[in-house]
Amino acid sequence: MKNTTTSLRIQRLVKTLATLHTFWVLVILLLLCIGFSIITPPGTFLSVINFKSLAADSSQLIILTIGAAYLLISAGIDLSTGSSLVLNTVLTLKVMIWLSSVTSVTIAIIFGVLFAALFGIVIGIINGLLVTKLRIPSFIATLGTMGATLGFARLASKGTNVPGVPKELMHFINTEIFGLPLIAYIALFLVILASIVLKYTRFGLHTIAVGSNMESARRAGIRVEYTQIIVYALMGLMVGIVAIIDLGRFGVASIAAHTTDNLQAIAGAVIGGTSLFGGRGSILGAAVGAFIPSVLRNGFIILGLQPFWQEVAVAFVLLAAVYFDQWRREQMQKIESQMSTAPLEEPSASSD
Amino acid sequence: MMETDIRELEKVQNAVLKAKNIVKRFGHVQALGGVDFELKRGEVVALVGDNGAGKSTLIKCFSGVYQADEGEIEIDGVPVKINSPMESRYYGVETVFQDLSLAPDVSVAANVFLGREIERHGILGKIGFLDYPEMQKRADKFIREVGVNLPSVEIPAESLSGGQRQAVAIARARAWASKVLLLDEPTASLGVRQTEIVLDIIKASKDRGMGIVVISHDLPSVLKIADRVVVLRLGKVAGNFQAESVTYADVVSAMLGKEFKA
Repeated sequence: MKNTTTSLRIQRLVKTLATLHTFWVLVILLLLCIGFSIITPPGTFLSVINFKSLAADSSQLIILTIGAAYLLISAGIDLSTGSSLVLNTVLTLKVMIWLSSVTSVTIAIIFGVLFAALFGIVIGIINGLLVTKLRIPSFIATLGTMGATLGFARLASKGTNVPGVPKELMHFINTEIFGLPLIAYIALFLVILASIVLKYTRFGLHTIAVGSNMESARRAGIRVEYTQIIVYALMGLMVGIVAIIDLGRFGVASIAAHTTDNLQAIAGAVIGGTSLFGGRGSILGAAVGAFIPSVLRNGFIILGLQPFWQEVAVAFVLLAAVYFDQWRREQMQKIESQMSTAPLEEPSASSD
Repeated sequence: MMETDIRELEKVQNAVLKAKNIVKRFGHVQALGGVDFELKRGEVVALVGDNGAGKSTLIKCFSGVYQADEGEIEIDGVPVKINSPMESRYYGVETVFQDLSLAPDVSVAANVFLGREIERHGILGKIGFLDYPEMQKRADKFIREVGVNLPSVEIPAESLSGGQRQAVAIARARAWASKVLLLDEPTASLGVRQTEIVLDIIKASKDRGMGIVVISHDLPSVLKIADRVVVLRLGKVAGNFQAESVTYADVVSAMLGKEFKA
């Protein structure tokens, strides 16, 4: 009987830990916002304009974080996100500029969007193939593509920012609906969609199973490599979507931006409760987690601090989040070893 | 004389799993050096041997985790090539691996249906949406059928005790197996009463006509249910005994490599 209550208590503990996690991230986020509201001059951090800008900034990162969370859940990682985003913006813009010189701007934008998505997916598939077919550890494989894509971006742009985003795209991306930027709705839609796919579809289950125990997944007949490649491609698609948003928001393919987007996306996912060791994670949590790097950057800029401080802060937050994840795993293992002698049968009366 | 011949013929016809001259090498190491093996319908064979004798390797050749370098495998009299776990399952062969092969973060129900999920009806099912309530209902039934009550099949496998995990792995294999059940150390790390439950499951599956191979170090337990004991030593068959007439001494001497004389 004692063991039965232990086992039930553990299940409750697991549940509360999971729900608590997102709750605590929300609390920290709120505290950050309150803190920044107090220490910044009135009407700066706490203002409608800043709130909109924050929503737009966060939306971009949230979309990348969705991809990062899927990858981490499948026990993969992508360090090339930021660099391939830069390359994507440069190439997409070049394609758009060239197309608008030969056809109409509308067609140029449509094909530009398709190109961005397709190019993102191709880079993702390359990452996936490096990891699955060449069996290069994901950390090193995507470190390689990170270097290569950044190099290509600098080559293609000759090392300077590329201007000339069609005004029509900028107008469209900066549209507001009910006082919120369009891209916030795009991000929200993608978060909900990704959440549903992870929870209720075969692909979602296979992603979790591959990250949870690759060998078991393989023995169960799951196409492990295929699943991994699709998850990398998904990350690439997110990069493509963000590339279009970025071009539309800033009107320029910026060569120096996004260098730490990879870290920020991973940090957002891990802060939101996604495990670096695969098998566990929540898209909703990751989306909430992604606000923390965004709010830090926003607050630091308003405070007049060098925005580079944000990078330092995000790095520390990431380390803390990973440490917490590890600590949680260790606690679980301790509990597990304690209950390895629990009975095979649970008296049905005790189940609630 | 005629009668025994017919009986022999029947036995051959009834072989649900038959392997001839199975050879498996890992680099320069020969793990299996020409193993002949036969399993009949409704028969429980205990596969025993010292560590490294090749028991798990042989089972993994049957379950498709490894591919034999040489030799032939027949299932129900039909020669087959088992290239993957998927293929072995297609032939009605299910395996409980020593590590249980569960995804710890995935729910018990999803573990039971992993790789053969039930889709929802209609258009949602077509695009990959799964019928979790139905899978939970059936997984719950599968697990109850092996005489175990779990508080819920919705909790992740890692929150189960060692015995409960073993029960889930066995319930899964039993539910899907139509011909052969391969069990690698199914009673390892189980208590006395839990072991009894596992042995009961094996007996019940045998009565349903399943051919069952059990690898176990727990000789006393396994002899209670086995019809035959096959001893492997250094990748070769070192003994093949009828369980009713065998003694521990016979088995142990075969395991240790002393010549056995009837």
